Amino acid sequence: MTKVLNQIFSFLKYILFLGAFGACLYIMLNMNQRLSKSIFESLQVFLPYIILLFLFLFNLLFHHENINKNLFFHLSCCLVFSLILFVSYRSIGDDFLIVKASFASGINYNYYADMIAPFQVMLYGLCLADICLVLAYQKPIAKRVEEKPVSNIKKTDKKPTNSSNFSQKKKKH
Amino acid sequence: MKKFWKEYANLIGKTVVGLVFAYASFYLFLNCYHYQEVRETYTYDMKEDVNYRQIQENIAAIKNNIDFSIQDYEGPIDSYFISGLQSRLNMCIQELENDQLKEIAEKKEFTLKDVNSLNNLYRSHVVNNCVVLQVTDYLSLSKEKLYSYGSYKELYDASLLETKFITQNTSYLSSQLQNNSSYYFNTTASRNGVYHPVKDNLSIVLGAYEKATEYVVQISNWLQKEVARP
Repeated sequence: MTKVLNQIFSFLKYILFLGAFGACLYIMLNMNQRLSKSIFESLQVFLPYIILLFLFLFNLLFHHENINKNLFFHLSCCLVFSLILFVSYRSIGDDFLIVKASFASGINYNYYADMIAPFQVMLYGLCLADICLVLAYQKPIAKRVEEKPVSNIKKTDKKPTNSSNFSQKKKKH
Repeated sequence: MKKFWKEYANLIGKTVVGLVFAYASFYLFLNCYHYQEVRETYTYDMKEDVNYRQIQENIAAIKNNIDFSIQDYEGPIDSYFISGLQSRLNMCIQELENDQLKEIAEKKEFTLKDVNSLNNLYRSHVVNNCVVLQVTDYLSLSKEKLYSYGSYKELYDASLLETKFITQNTSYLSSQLQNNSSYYFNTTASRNGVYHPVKDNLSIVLGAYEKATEYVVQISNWLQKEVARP
């Protein structure tokens, strides 16, 4: 069950990551266009995404088991990216946020801008956790088969009596 | 030593993942809660509201007051001014009883979006198009000619104060409604006992609307008295 969930969340992590990055790029492009600023001035917003992308690629290429088999890590990543997507959806599509109507592009920049700092904290946290878990990885030691102690009971020529039903056998290993 | 640092890194990694999980969960719940809060509805029949009924009565009173023929006027004030004020009040009535207000009045459930629409309607049609542009502006234009006339002087001085109050009385509400993107925590008990965003703001806008129509009624009452002078 854990393996199946691990596979699901691992796959979902990449899909949600692409969606979150795409949504962030779209909103930031519109925001900078409105303020007549270059997108490169907002590079610090995209930096954690780029670092996380490289770390995910390293994890895939070098088969870091501490990450690839860590269900909790995948779950946390999915949660963070889902949050980014949800906030992006509310910035673009939630008409009940009154100030959205004031912006000609139909995006509530105030609401999204309030959440940029928490997003960066979460994404940098995931980067740090990824690096720490990769560094903490220890290769498992091969298990030896343990020898069982030899029995001291000897095999006798006498036939077993009626009173005793035990037959003693010499065990050889 | 190497094993120690690896254990340490493992501990830090798992702690950070846990913290990120908690932080993301908190913000997700916060956003879901806020999503529900901004969609809070208030069931109300606006047609039964006291202020709304008063608005309708005031509009009817204005119509009644300006229902006269200028040819019958033989008073001291310039008949062009009387005629002009009559036509301006007529245009004001069209702004006061617009279709958008009737559409909003038909609703049974109100949200903050509806309150914002009503407030925008009030500020553009009532305050801007009627009170300021039609009534107060026209009274200001005729000030030089008529200020020596006693009843006009009282009317003009009062209209300035009333107009100032009417233009400012829901300006804070506009900024408050636009700030609903910020998180706020409300409970049912708080809504029922202290402050209900939809109910209280709706009441404020309707009250302001009624005050504006009352001001126009006062102008039309003055006009009717002047025309009715022997």
